[in-house]
Amino acid sequence: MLIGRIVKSNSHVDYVCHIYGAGEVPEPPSPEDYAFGRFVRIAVGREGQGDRQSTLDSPVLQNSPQTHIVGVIYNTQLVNPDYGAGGPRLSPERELEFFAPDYLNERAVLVGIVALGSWRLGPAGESVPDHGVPPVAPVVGAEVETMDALEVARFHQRPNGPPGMPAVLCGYLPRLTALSSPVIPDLVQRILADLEPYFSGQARVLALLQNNLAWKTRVEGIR
Amino acid sequence: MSAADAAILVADGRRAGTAAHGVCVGTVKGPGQSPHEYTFITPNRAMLVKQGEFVYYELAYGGETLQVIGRVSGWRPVRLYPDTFMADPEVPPSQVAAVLGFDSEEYELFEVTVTVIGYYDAQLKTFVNPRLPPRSGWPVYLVPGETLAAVLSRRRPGEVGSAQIGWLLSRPRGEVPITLSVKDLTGTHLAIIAGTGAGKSYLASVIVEELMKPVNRACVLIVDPHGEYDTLVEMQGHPAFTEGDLITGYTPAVRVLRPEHVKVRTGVLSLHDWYYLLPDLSERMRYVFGRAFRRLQRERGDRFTKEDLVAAVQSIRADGREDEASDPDVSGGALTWRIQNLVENARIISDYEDLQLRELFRPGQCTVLQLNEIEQRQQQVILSVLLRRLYRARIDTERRLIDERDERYLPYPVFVLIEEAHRFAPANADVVSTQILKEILAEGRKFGVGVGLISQRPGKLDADVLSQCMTQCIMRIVNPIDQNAVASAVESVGRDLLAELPGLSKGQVIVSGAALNTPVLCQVRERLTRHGGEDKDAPAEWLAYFQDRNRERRREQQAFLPSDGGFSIFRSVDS
Repeated sequence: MLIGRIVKSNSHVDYVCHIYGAGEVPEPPSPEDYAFGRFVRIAVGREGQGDRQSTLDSPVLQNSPQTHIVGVIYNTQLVNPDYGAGGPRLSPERELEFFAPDYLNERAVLVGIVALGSWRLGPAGESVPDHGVPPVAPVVGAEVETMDALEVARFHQRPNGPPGMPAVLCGYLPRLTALSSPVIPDLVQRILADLEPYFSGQARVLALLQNNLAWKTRVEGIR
Repeated sequence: MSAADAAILVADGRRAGTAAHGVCVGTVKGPGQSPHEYTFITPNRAMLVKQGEFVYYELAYGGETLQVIGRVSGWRPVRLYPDTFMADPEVPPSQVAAVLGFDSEEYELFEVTVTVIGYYDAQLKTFVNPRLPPRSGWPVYLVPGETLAAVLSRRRPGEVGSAQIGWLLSRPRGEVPITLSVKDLTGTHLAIIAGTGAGKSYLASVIVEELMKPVNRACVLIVDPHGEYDTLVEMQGHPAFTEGDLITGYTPAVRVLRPEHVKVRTGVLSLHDWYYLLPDLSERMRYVFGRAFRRLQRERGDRFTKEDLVAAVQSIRADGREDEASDPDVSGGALTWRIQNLVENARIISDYEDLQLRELFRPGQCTVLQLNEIEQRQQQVILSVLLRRLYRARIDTERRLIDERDERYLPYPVFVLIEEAHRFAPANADVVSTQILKEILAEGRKFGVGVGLISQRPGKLDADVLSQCMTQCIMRIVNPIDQNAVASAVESVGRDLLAELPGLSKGQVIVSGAALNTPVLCQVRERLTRHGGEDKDAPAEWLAYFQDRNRERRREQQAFLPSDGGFSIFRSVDS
């Protein structure tokens, strides 16, 4: 489901997405669709950048053609220009839609997305998860889509893992925990908890990681 | 560089391992804490770098490339799995790392400290420290086994004067033999120090086996207070110790002197020995005894009996001064009684039998002097008398003061191995044998008298005695007092090797000193003869006793008891 578009970036892995509001798309997303910890994908490469992709001739990119950046929502900001403007208005609230429609559009929900990795094309044309820093950034206006639980699980499945039992991969965790936001530990805990049902064979490994993180943030953090 | 050498250069210019060049195991980081140390970084992929292992760096010096050998003396982990990855015993840390995207098998990195020994100078036949440390980034190689075999030991196995006691511990069995130089071992004395059960008598027996092989044919005496070396008789006729035919060839002679045959003739005991055997004599008693002994020596030389000694004391009493005659200690017969009591109870003192030096010491003969069942003071006197006579005989023989017609004539070096040496030269006690042992350890090499000391309590052994032994074999020692005693007395062994002492297993030994070019950790080889120093298996013997007893009881019951069951002394009162 499309939930918004990229409007800004704070760094190569930290993007701001403007959530579609009423009137921008036929079915605007509900707050649950852009909740904290939601996995999203952002189209890049040919899908996201059109003809400009042909000018990218870096060997790194040629060897690892991205299709989508995978990220997770870690922050939410509500933009309301009306807040703090205490003066009288010429138009009453219910008539703004007719007399000042631009003003309505300035109210927005922005979400912060941290890029965790990407989907890239494998040798047989299949999508392969890559947990490294995505080499190509999305352009302004690139559309942001939510990922369903199965796709999230597939993103965390180790390529070429042992047959029979899917092996979990969270290669972005060290990078994610290094971010300075205070909500990151909770975000990681949530990700690990959500992965457990799909990787029951490695539940103890995931539990160990959760315990270590909990100790670090909840016990050591309070000292 | 030859074409062959060029062919084995790997991509970064480092050589791959060959017989002549070792495997590259790391890269020099920089100098260590002391001037003769350096450190290198290694992932230790093939687990080749071990504590005590030998490595080298190459140094272009004087137009040639030298292999500067050093010993691994310290470890410090540089990179390991975090502790938190090991929180669940059933989850390997590698799995946790794999989840985080790290699935390389190379997760460890170590900083290894090397103590430089030097390059081997073939002309000097020893190591020379070039005092040029390696530069950061230089490769470090493992010393190939063939090179180690050539440079660690002064002798090759099987050579005349060689004693192969085992293998280098850090290498596979058989790769690097540890061969002691018998000349240095017997000439400048040996010490075997080990805690209980570490295998010191086993090692001593291995050394004796080597000494008695056809290439050495040594003249050895073992002072055996526990009676555990008698299995060495198996050397006689054993193929490993035999060379040539029965008539012109060689096989060692092993003579075991049982305690009942160990005798010291009354006349050869010195006044000091008598005083030692008669402790707590009053001053007056010592005076009277001394007068009697000296008079006897003047009149008879060393040819007198126990009765002669008692009679001499009694005669001194009879013609003594007024005050002596009235002294209850002397006049009351107390002194006479004590002498008589000693000579009657001390089995070692004999009027006519004696230990003949030429019977005890012969090349190609190993004599085991069993002193078990003999009281400790008497053991000390026996050793004191024996060493004194031996040393005098060797001095007189070397100085040509005696010839072969003299029974003391010993025209060959001898080696005396003393078990439980702390009994004969204790640290804080005045024992009759200490002085002669010190004298032999200090001067014996000039006259061909070598001593090997074996002790499980180096802390109780006289420090001077221990420090005079120039070859040291140190096995597992747990007691901190004994560890300190070894550390202070043995200069040639570094702290890093001494730190290994508590962790050594049975049969593992640190060998250092004159008989080798550098200290090594060695695994003692297996004995060719049976080991006699095994502890008793008490449960098995108890079981056997009852099995025999049961069989005997059944036999007796069947043979003698009447059909009604007979009488039992164990029958209870109630029944």
